[in-house]
Amino acid sequence: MKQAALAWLLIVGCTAAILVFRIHQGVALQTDLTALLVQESGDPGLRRAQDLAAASLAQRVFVLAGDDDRAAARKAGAALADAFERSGLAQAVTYRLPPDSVTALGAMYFPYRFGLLTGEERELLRHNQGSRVVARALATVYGPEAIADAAMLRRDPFLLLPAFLTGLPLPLAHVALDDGVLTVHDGAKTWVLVAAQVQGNVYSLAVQNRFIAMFDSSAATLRAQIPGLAIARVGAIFYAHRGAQSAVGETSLIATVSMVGTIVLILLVFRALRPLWLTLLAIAVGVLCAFSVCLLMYGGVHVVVLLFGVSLTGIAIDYCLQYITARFGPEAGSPRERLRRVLPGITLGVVTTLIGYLTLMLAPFPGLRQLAVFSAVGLTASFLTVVLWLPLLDSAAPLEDSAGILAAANLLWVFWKDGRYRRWRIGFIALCVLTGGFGFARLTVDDDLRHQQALAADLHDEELEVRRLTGMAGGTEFLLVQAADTESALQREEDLLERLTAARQTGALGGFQAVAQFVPSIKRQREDRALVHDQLMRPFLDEYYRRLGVVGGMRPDAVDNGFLTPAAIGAGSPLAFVRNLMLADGPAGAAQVVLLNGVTRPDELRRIAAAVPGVHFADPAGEVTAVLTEYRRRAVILLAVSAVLMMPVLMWRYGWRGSLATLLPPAAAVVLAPALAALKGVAFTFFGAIALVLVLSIGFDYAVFCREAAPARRAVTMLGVCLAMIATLLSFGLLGFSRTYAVHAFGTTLLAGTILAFIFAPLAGDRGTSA
Amino acid sequence: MRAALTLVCAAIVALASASHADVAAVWPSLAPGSTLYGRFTQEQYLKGLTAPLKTEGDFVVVPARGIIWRSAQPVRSVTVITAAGMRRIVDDNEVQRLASAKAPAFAHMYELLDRAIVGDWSALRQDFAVTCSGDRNAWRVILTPLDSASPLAARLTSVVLTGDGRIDTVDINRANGDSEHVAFLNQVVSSTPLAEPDAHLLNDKRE
Repeated sequence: MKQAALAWLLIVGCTAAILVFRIHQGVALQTDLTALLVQESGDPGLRRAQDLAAASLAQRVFVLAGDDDRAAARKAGAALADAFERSGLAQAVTYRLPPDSVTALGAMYFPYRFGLLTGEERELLRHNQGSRVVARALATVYGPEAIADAAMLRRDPFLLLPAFLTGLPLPLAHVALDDGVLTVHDGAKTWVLVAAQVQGNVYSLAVQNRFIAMFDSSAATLRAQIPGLAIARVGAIFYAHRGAQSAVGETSLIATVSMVGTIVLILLVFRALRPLWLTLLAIAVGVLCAFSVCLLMYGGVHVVVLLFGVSLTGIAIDYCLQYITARFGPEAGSPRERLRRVLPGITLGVVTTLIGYLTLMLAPFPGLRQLAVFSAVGLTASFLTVVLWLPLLDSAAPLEDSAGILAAANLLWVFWKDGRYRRWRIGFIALCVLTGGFGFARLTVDDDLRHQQALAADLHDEELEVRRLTGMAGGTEFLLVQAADTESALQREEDLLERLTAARQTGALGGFQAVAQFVPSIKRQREDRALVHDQLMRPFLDEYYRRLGVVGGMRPDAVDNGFLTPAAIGAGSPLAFVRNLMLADGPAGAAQVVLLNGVTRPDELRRIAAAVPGVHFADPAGEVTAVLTEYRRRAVILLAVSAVLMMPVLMWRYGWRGSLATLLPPAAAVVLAPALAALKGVAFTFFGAIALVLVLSIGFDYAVFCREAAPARRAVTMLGVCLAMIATLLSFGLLGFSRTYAVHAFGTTLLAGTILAFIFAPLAGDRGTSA
Repeated sequence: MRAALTLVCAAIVALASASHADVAAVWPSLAPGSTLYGRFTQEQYLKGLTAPLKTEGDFVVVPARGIIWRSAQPVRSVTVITAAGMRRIVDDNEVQRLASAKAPAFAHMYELLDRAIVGDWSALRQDFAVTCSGDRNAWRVILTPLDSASPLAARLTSVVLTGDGRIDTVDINRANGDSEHVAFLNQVVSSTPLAEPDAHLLNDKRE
């Protein structure tokens, strides 16, 4: 026994050394929920490109500064842009465009004007209706605003360039340049826009803290200088920071309450410190081993796995407390004897729980597999620590018998087994059935990612305000276009744009933004040039000039026989945002993003994407929702499978009837817990399903302990179960008070399930009824 | 855009005028709620063209709502200017649209014009020097951009309006040497509601 304990010490020591070494090297905690997706599906290049696009979109930040005084608003905008720029935390800061930027935009397009047609013009020319383009030009020339002078008429006779420029689908419908600054006028207020890209990962706490500190201090300074100043912001980083802040606050509060509660509980019951640190030791060893093994096996740990894995490992407290409470009573015996007494019960508990956890491995999801490994390793390590170390570290003296506490702990048993309470029992079961039925009627399933996290209301209001003022479209969906080179990518986008335009007319989406809308492919420019030449210039130009009295013919000065490419868009251009749509352009091929907004029928967009080669529809929020749905379904199926797999072990020890009796409490808890949570308005989610995996294991533990309890030690067993339940509620049940919906759902389901598992546990123990 | 600007200038000229002290005295303000109807002839003198471009048609001016400018000769087209922007319709097809949000300078000029129509010259005077001569029966108003370095001055040299009880002519002189002469005829002020087609044109709020 001592040798085994030493060997275990050696193993734990090595594991700790590995962990320290790995942490020293820097452990990468994966945070991307899509990393939990089935890795085999899709090619890695596509996933990389999608990740890149999603990250780039998440980095966008828009801030509006508004004041009744135009000068004050502009001062604030300039100061914010300056703070962004100087901080080094943002790039592509856009506030004041260079004074000649609009002229420069015209100059960029001008040499290529005979190959730049609006969609409408192209349709007219393709259908021999060039005369309507001529009529439009004449109406403009003769119109009251006198746009054209003779020089213009000779350079661009049919005014194609102005039409193309007005037709550009600029993304901020209500924003215009006012002396170089993007501005919106709304009532008395002048709003100016500052746009930027955050440097780094916006979901990294370090990046968030630095950026938000910089933003908040600049905003505070400005508000002090300009009393009426209004600031509205949009950006994933603002939401992520607020979410992290509230999560950290909540977690530390819950952790403190849970820690203090557990310590007080153990001190109150045992009036000794040793049980406390023995418990902590067992769980710490479990988490340590689980973490190291996961690092060794997977090279990293997903943060979701870590969170739930620690919870699942924490169940080891059940075995710990069974051993520790065995110290109660004058006949408790030596530590070795105590262990011998509880060993069958806790071994069965561990085996059933391990079956439950390892069943998660059956799902083809990397996340669930990692979770299964983490919790199985953790649980095993904790169990070995209880069995091998605790008797050696424990004190030999029995604990003072506390008759009051033991009697109280035994009350539940009395309730279930004593004839006097028969009516009460029937009443209680009827109540459970009724409440459960009522809860099931109200049970809903909700996997939508957007409902799993609470968005800060004030930030959401600001976002709506920015959208209203600027006409900026919302939505996280996009299409990824991959091709051999930029030209082919543009051609694919043009194919796509026709389909998207049709889909917009049927309401499948609200709008889109693509590079090809601003720079047509060379192929299209060539075709348009031919159309302009054949359908416009050749049939109509002479008559048109004669009619207007233009002498000397066309002067196509500065017409470039080459073609416009996206490379012509510079960083200071009003079209600089188009550059963000281009992810890659190199020997490995080109990747471009088509932004979508107001998507109402994702399936139609999937169909459109499937129809054009190299195009993929990406719906980050929808994908995570799909992952959660799939994980929830699998978790529920695996829950049933694991219960079935546990049965042979139980049947081997308890026989057919006994195993069914042992199954009853955990099964009742698992079935009723979601119904009770539903009464509290909690929808069933993946997080609830994981809580049920825990409830099943906890329920089996309690049931097995009760079944194994010799009549004389029954009260001690019940005390151990009761303490285990309270400790579980203190550590995880408190999560039910979280404001993060996912955590709230997890905690509430676990709270209900653990209490139910505890209440029903004595039903498993019929060995003692005769005594 | 330049087009829009010029149009607004033309309209300003068409409706504004008067010298510092006298502009209020000679200016034929339009009462809010009334509508001005009339015909126009427009001649554009573009350097490099053999002959001026001549246009005829009719117009409707409704304070605080907008202007409808209908060309009948030599091409038929309708131009509608409101606070929301400018639209042009040829053969019942909308062929052009310029939203105010996208053309703040245009929107600004329309606002100046709309206020001048009802006799409020204060906004106009922020951008133009206004000189006025003559009396109510024969007056002449000259507008010149105040800031010679402004984008406005880069396009426009001066606007000259003449009139009696009404505005009779507007001459716009451009910085590039081109000029435009507009004459207004058969003007009628009415307080009856707009005819349905006109009201419909001015009501269109689409962007």
